[in-house]
Amino acid sequence: MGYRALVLLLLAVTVGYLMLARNIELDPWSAEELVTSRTLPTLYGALLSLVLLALLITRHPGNLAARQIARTGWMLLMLVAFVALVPLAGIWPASAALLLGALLLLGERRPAVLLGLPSGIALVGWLLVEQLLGIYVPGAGLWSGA
Amino acid sequence: MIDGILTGFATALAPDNLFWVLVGCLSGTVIGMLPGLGPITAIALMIPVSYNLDPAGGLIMMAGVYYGAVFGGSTSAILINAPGVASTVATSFDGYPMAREGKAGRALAIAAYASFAGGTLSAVLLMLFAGYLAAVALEFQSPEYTLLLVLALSSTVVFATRGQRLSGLATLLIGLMLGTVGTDQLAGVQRFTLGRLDLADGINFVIVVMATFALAEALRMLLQDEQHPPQTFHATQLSVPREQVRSLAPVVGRSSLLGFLVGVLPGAGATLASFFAYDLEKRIGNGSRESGVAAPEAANNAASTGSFVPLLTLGIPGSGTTAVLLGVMLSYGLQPGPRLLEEQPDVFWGVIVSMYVGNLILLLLNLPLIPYLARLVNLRPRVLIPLVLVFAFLGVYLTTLNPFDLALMLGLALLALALRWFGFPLAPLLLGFILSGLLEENLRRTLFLANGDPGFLLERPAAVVIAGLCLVIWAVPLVRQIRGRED
Repeated sequence: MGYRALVLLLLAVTVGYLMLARNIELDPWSAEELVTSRTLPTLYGALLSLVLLALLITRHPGNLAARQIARTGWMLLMLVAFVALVPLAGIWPASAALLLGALLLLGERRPAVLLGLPSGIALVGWLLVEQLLGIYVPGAGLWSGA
Repeated sequence: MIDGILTGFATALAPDNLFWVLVGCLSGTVIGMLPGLGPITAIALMIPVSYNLDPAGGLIMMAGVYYGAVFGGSTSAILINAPGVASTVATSFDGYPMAREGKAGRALAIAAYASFAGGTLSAVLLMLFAGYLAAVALEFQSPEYTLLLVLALSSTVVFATRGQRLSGLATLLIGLMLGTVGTDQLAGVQRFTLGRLDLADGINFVIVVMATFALAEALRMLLQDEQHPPQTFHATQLSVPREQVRSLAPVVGRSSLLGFLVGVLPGAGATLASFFAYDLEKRIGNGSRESGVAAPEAANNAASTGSFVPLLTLGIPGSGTTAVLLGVMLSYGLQPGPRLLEEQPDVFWGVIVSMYVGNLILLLLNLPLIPYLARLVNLRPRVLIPLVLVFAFLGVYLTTLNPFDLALMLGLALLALALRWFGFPLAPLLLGFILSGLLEENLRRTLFLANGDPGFLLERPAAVVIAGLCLVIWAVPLVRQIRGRED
């Protein structure tokens, strides 16, 4: 994605935000007020549109050098899969799977790290959070049949 | 005030709080040392831990994380020329060349002593002035707060790095807009929730903090494939000759004072302070590499403490980091500002005194541990990145227990990554997001009080002074631009 594409995308989102701001429902009493629930969102959206237009015509601020686009794409896919997996498998198995997948993707091949880190973090996390601190963490749909 | 300070010492020196400041300093140092991770990431990653503590303990720990991370950041700046945050960039100018000359230990020791001196001097100044400022701020009402919030938000843009003002304004507005998502507290109507119940309470600030800093930072490291050559050094090098201590003492003194004053200004913060101090030393000092390390280190630690002045006394954060701390305070049900001094003196003074205690712990604990902790800077990105990713997701999920928030966080992280990629600063986004609700609430109250009469503000001298300050800070760069002094 180029700089102009990002600014144009932000501009499109801002226009959508402004349209939603116009449709915020007001009760008859607050509609009479000087500042309503719509006022500041409209002001922010309008100001951001102007700033984005100014950014489009001013010089390019420069970007960082990307070296690993494919690898980052795979990582993003893994993160999406993790988000989908959490309600099914539970946070601890999903976290262990994400950690293992990410380590493999980034080139880690030491068996001790590949096995020890994901299982260790999931186990210590479960012990600390659920057993020691007694925090309720929703269970996994996959195991409970829910 | 003496009573307050004694209360603060009683709170800060309570065994459990002492333990938490120790945990905060150590974890802040460890996270801050990891290349690419700074104080905001450190605080973000520790938020879930703080939620299990009482307010005083939680805030004391978070303050420890903050200055621990600032100190830790200088280690990676000196050893591998990878400052985790902008406030340690100036340290790397002379610190990294010292490390390459085989003086890594000395540079780290100077950084540790200068940080301690800067933080301690600043904590004493904070103790002396916080109570008075809070007493003055008690007179403030919605009009003054509205203008103070405008001042804080304006400062973030005006004091931004040259060339980043417009992009800083854009991210500030994005933050303000994100802050409008959810139920409008004053009118009870839902805004921008797209019919989703998950968004009815707005976006949890932990999601925004983790997305913009922890997650986006890990993805940026992944995309850039940063590699640093491993470094080794020996513990025996951690000493500073006595004559050098004498020559550095005035450098540390003036840099600390400068850092504190800059830190108090909303929006200025540790980065500006460290660059000012470095520049000042190069102009008026002896120009040695040692003073080039001591000056920014004393200044950035002093500024970190100084930035607590507007947060604790006025409830107005001046930087992204203190904005996150404000979010933590609000989630405890605490309203930072002058009332905090009256209603929760143990929290107010406990946090202030813990800064002094924390700086002492930081020195006593970290100096001997530096050779061991410094090995962390050699942690390979292929292990570091997955760990940050998993801890960021765990942090959000254990706070909200809602899978929808994980998806929201991923979306926000992608936005933050894209913004960061093209040079947009992200701290204004965080500040705008956290202050959005406060600004709207105070503005609407002000207009209600004014009853449509703009002359209402003129009857309030403090409001007029703050409005004048707002005009001045916007006018100065505009005038300079017109005169052609800037690009």
